[in-house]
Amino acid sequence: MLETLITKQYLMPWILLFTAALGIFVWRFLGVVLSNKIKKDSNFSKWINAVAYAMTTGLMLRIIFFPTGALASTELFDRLLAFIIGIIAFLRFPKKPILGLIIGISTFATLIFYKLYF
Amino acid sequence: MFVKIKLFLKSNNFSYGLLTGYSFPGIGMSSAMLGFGVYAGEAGLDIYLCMASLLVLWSMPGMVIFVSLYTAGAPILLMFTTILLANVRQFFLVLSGIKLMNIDNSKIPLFKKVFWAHFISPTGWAELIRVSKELKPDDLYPFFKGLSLGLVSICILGTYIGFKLFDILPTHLIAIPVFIMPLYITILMLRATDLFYRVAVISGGIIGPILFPYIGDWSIIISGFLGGSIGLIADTIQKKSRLNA
Repeated sequence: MLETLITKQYLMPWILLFTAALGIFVWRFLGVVLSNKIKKDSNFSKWINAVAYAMTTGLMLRIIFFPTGALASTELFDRLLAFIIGIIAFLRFPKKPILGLIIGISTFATLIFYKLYF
Repeated sequence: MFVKIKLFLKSNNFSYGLLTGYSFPGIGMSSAMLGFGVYAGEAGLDIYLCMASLLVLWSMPGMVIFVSLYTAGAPILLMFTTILLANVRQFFLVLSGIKLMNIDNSKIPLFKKVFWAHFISPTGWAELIRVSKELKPDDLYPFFKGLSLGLVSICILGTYIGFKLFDILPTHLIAIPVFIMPLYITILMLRATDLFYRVAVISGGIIGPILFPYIGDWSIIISGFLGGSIGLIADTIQKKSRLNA
């Protein structure tokens, strides 16, 4: 049965997508099932949160240093400079995080437009 | 008028989530999806497969790996293994997100929990962390439902635009909105007030990019483990020094 399905070329992409979805589903399902086994205020629960914090920041910094897709067509200097300026602006005005974001994006946009048109 | 509508939407947790989904997090994420749409279009996927991969995978690394391996004609087992190994982080995000929303021990059916857990992405999780300071734990679940609906709909639009316009959009200009997401989420992470999480954020942000050239996507997991553990150690030292003082 599976062989018949696989030999049908139009079904192959969908079978591959299903397989890929299964690879991610495993982790999400385990996360849900195991969540009620961990006490909310335990050190382990705190550690899980800290791992998520560290992983997410690591991922975001990886996007800045080693991007894929459209961001990869820009220079590291431009990304890094705009990122640092945005973070400094946020640290300077921590109660208005949107300011850091806008300053960072404006810097990046200015650098891109400058290199494209000047 | 606009302020009144905004206040009305914020008064309901679901619509507050929806509104959040259509603001900065949504713009950042849909821009990244626009980039994915361009990538999928260039790789030769049809629009149905492109949209389906967005909805059923809902993980940028997973989606990019899927398109790369699909176009390379990879076998099923390689597809499963690569996606499985590249997405370990989903486990931690879901575990943390479910605990934050306080639905781990609730009577919500398992399939519903699994359904909504599917939409816990780094952006969704970071937003949960942000609003957890202003909403009660029980209000986070309806907020997250609204947020997910907002993010999914705006990401569908972003992917569609990217897919349809992949040959005419200049990549340099696409890069500007794509830049929103890493900066926005890093700022959200830096808003953590506990020393435990601050140390984890800084350690993870340093370790991740340093290890990436050597171990690729595993650097994300390792930076998480190391960053989280360094945070735990810092917290223990701080508690001990407080006790000794």
